[in-house]
Amino acid sequence: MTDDQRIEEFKQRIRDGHRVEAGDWMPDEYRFRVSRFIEMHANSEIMGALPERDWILRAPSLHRKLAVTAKIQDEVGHAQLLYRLVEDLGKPREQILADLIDGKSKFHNVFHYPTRSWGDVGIIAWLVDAAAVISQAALQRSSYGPYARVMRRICWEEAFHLKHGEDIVLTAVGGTPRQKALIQEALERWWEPLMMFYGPPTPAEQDKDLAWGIKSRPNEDLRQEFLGKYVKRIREIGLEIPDPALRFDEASGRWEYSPIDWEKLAQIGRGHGPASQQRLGFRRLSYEETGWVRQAVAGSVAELVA
Amino acid sequence: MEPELAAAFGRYLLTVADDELVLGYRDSEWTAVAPMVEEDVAFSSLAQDEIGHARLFYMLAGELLDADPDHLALLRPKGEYYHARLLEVRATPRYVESGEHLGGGDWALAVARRYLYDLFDDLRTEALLGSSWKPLAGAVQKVRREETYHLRHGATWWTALARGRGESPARLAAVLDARWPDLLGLFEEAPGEDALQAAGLLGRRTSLLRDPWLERVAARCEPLGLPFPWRRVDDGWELMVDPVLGGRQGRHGAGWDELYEEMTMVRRLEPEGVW
Amino acid sequence: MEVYEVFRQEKEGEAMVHVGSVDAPDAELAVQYAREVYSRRSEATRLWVVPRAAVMELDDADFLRPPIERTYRMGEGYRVTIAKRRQLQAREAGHGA
Repeated sequence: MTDDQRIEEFKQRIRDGHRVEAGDWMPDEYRFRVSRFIEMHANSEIMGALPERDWILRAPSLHRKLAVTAKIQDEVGHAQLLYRLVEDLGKPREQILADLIDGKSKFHNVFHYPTRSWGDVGIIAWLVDAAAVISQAALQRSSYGPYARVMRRICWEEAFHLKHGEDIVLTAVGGTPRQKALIQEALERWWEPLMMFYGPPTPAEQDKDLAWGIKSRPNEDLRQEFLGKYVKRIREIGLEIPDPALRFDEASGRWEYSPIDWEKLAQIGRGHGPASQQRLGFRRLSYEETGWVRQAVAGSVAELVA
Repeated sequence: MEPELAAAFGRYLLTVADDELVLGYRDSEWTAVAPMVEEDVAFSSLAQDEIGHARLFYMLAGELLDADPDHLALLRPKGEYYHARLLEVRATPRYVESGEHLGGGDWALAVARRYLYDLFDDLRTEALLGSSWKPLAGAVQKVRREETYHLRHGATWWTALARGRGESPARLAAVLDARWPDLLGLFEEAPGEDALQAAGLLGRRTSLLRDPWLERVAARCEPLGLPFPWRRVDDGWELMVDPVLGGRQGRHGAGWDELYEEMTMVRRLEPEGVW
Repeated sequence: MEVYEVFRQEKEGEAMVHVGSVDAPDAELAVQYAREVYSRRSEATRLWVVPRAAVMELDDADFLRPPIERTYRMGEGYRVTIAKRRQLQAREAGHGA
C-alpha cells in the first residue's frame, strides 16, 4: 500500500467513527495536529490556573477558599492528564513547558486577561467554564481515543465548577449592591473574551481539525449553543450583557451580536493580550526557581536511598 | 465547662486553628507553580486538608467563644492571630500585575517546614485525643487519619531532598540552618495551658511537646547527615539557638502583614455579608 | 521519572478499570499521585499502580481475532438447536395424535 493509500484508509476509518490509539500508525499531519491541539488545551489549563490562584488567598470565607482551591487543583489536574497524552505522542514534558514559556506554543485567549475582583472569580468559574463545557462535550467524540477518554473525566469535573461558579454569582448578586456591582463589572470585562472563546466562524470545510475528527463541531455552532443556554440565565438574575446588538433572530433561528475583532484575537493568541507576558513571565520564574528540584529527583529516589 | 476554662480553651484552639490556616494558606500558594505538575495536584490537596482542619478547629473554638467560624478566620484584628511565626513566611514567588514579579520560591522551605510542623502537630493532636471535651476528641481522630498521609508525603520529600542530586542537600541544610529558631517557636504556649492540662482538656501542654519533637527530628537528621542545633545532655536536651517567640501572643513579622492584607481584602468589602 | 499506569475499582466487587497514568520519580510518590489525580473525590475503593514497563500490550488482529471460524465457541454457532428442537416436538406431537 502506498502512503497516500494508507492515509486515505486512515481518513475513512475516522469517518466511519473508529478511534485512534497512542500506539497506532497515524499520518504525520494527524499526529502533528492532534498533539498540538491537546498541547494547547493542556497549556490553557495550566495558564488558566494563574489568574485564578490569587483569589484562593483572598476568598471571603473558608468554604469558598476550599472550593476555589479545589477548582484550580482540578485545572492543574486536567493539565496533568493532557500533558501525559502529549508525552505519549512523543514530546517530552520539559520541551512542552519550554515551548510554552518561550511563546512557541499557544494557550487559550481567555487566560490572557487580568482578574480584578472577586466578581471575576464567579464569572470565570460560571461562564468561562460553561463555554468550555460546551466545546469539551463535543471533544468527547474526538477521533483520538485517549483524548476522548480524558475529555469525559474533564467534563465530569467541569460540571462541579459550573455549580460552584454559579453559586458565587448568585450569592453575590443576591447580596448587597456592592457585591452585585462586583459581578456586573466583571461581566462587562469578560463578555468580549467570552464571545471570542470559540474562535472565528471558520466554515466547516476549511477547518482541518474538524476534518481529522479531532474536534467534532464547528466554532459558530458552539457559540450559538452557548448564547442559547446562557443569555437568558444571565439576564434573568438582573445582570446586563454589555452588547446592545445581542438578540435572537426568530427568522434565522440564530443569535446576532456586535461584530467581533478577530484580528485582536489573533494578536492575543500571539502573546499580546493584556496580561500575556506577565503570565508567561511568572510561569518562567516559577519554573526556573524549581529547576533544582526536578534535577534532584531526576533519577529514582529508591536508587538514592539504597 | 466553666467560663474561664472555656475562654482559655477557646483561645488555645485558636492557636491550633490559626497554625493550620496560615500553613494551609502558604501551601496553597504552590497551586499551579509547584516543581512538577503531579506534585502540584498532591500538594494542593495537602493545603486543602490543612484549611479543612482549620475550619474544624474554628468551629470548635467558635462553640466555646460563641463566635462564627468565618468571623474567627477572617475578621479578627491583625494582632489577634496566634499562629507560630514560622508559618507566615512566604515560600513561593509572588505575582505582580506589572510583570515585576517577586521571586523567592523555595521548595526546600516548603518541604522542611511542612514536614517538621507535621511532626509537631502529630504530637499536639495526640495530646488532644484524650481530651475531656468529647467534641474535640472526635474531630482530632479524623484529623489524625488524614495526617498519616501528610507525614508519608513529607518523609518521602525530606529524604528525596536530603539525598537528591545537585544542589538539593545544600539547599535543605541552608533552610534548616536559617529556620531552626522559627521551628522552635512552635512550642510557645497559649495563655493558661497549665490550667487546661490540669483540667484534662489538654493531654500535654505545648512546651512539653518540645523534647519528643527534638528526639524525632534528630532521628531524621542524623542518618541523612543534616546538622541540628541541639544535643543530648544528662536529663534531656541542650539547645544552641533561641526560639523565635511572639506568634502565640499575636506578635508577627512582615510576612503576616502581607498575608493578612491579602486574606481579608475581599471579606472586608462586606464583613457581615453572605459570600 | 517514570510513567505509572493507574487502575481503579470504583465500587466493591467491580472490575479494575484503567483510568490513566502519572509521571513520578519513584513508586512511593507514584502511589500518592495516583490517589490525587484519579481519586480526589473519593471515586475509588481500590487502586492498582503499575510501572508502564511492566504492562505488556497486545493489539495484533490475527492474534486477538484469528481468521478461521470458531463458531463452536460462540452462541451463534448453536442457533440450529432451535430448529432441531422444533423438529422433535413436531415428531412427538405426530406420534401422540
